[in-house]
Amino acid sequence: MTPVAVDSSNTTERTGLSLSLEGVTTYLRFGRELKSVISRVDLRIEPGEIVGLVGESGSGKSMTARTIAGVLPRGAVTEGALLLGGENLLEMPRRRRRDVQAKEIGVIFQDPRAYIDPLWRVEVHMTEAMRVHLGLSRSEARARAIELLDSVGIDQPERRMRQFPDELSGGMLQRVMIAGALAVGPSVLLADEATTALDVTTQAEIVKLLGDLSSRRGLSVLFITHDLALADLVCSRVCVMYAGRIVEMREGRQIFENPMHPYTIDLLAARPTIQHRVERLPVIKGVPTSAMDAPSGCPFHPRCRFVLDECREAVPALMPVRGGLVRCFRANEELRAQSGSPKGTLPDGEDDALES
Amino acid sequence: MGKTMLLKVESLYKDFRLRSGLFGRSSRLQAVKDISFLVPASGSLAIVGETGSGKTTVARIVVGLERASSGTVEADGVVLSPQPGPDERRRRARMMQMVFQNPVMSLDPHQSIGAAIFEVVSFHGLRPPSECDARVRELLNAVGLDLRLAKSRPQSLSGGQCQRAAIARSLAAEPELLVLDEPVSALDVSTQAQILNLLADLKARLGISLLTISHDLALVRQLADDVIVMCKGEMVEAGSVDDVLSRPQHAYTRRLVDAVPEIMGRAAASSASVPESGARRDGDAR
Repeated sequence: MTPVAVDSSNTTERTGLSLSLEGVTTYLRFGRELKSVISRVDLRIEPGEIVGLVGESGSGKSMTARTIAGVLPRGAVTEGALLLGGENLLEMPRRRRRDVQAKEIGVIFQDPRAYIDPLWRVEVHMTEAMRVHLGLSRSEARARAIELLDSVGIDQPERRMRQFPDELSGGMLQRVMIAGALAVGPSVLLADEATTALDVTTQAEIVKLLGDLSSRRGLSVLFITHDLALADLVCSRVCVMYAGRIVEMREGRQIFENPMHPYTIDLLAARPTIQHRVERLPVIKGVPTSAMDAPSGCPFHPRCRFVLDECREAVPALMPVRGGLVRCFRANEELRAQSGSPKGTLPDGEDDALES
Repeated sequence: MGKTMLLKVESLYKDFRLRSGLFGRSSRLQAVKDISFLVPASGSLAIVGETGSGKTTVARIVVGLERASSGTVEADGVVLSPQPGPDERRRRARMMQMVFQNPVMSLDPHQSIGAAIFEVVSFHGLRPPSECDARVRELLNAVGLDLRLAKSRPQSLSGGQCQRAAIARSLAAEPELLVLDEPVSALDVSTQAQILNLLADLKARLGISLLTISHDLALVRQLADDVIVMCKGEMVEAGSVDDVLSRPQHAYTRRLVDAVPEIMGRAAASSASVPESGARRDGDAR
């Protein structure tokens, strides 16, 4: 089945398509220069699966989403293979690619209020894509919009259709965004920090909704977040990104039980927990870097407390370790067990202050 | 109780008038209903709640950015006037300082961070003019910022560095109380820990009291001794952080605690990787 064969009558029950990225590198144009923002990203999401992409600012997690959705800034170049149901989007003619991306890939963002037109009633927001991309009539689109709003747990959908965004709460509006992203019946849903701006209790509801939708509709969901604990809760597989590269990939729970990359280990330890207070939070020195500013060698080496000379020279490959993938020369050394004696740690003030 | 109370807030109410449309009927929103609490000297209290709970309004009333509809705020034994004149405002600014959520937006983009700190030091006349520069350097040091950054503008710094600068600026007034409104939620996870350690340090070293406003229960556990939980303007639960977060009594608090994505068994895992105290310096200690 080709990804463009969207039949509007049965899109809701259709089983989805898998999405896979193979060695995807994206460059942004700065004047005459091209700079990579993500490097050789490999990722696979099966229908009905939620895969997590965790990273800090500049890690390239949003650029990965924008590459998949085809909404990169002007002049951007993408290499590698972006496969949707086995077809490489990057090899398609531009027109067709945009058509497939518009119909097959839904995106929801962090702050719904920044993405929804405040002067549009919910109805307009919900039906526009269906009318443009599926050619539905106004009443058909309306009927489906109501059905969709209902399916994402919005009560009195008919009434909501007439309301404006500022009349809805943040959680409600995020549900509208999700329903809107599902309007044309996509196979893939990209959730870019979709719950970050929400309260914890609302976050829990939205996360549950995403889980339901993914299993019920066979959606392939990419769940992008900075919160490792949340990713662990939601995802069957978690990828940790740093400076444009995936540095560790593990099955959901395993990322906590067996973190092997120094970045993952320290990131987990640096997070305060609700269960108890620690005397001093262990910190990662310095600040996160983006792929554009990354140093030579392993991009994490200036902040790493297990750094070796070779880390400064070459980028380690993503190696299978303990059932996951780790991009570190010392991945086999059980670094976590050595965490208690961080000999390599320098006072971070200097490094921190110098990077700017 | 033997402890002296630095801040005493008594039955605070705040109503906002809402109007729908230009000629619409106006209605009243009770944002804060009967909130009372105490912050002991060198103590640390947190107010938690969700969006719209009124927690930020309470903080803004405490520092004088908002007028209470009724109720009193007493600091160091003095009842603060709801309509402070210039003198009283200056006194209040000496007494307490607020640190905001978005550090980049809370600093003037046209001013270097050194100048921003200098301004506060000289405004309060805390040092003779000849010593102001030295004091700025001392403050930058205290928050772990490189002195060379004094000439930088906020937009050229990272979020963590900006938040350090904002904290340095608030320390310039030598306040007894820091009011922190979501102090780390705009920062990256790996820099959050640095700022939390810095705040704990300042509290221990300078004996500053903290009033933290946050929705993040893990942060509250790390930073506060006592906590009050607000829901729709009302206080639904109050007590020590340990009691409230480990044994929440009110249904709303339980819902909050349960919604936090935590990893079970994490306690054991993380304590294994926490170094001995003092064995590790991490820059904030400078």
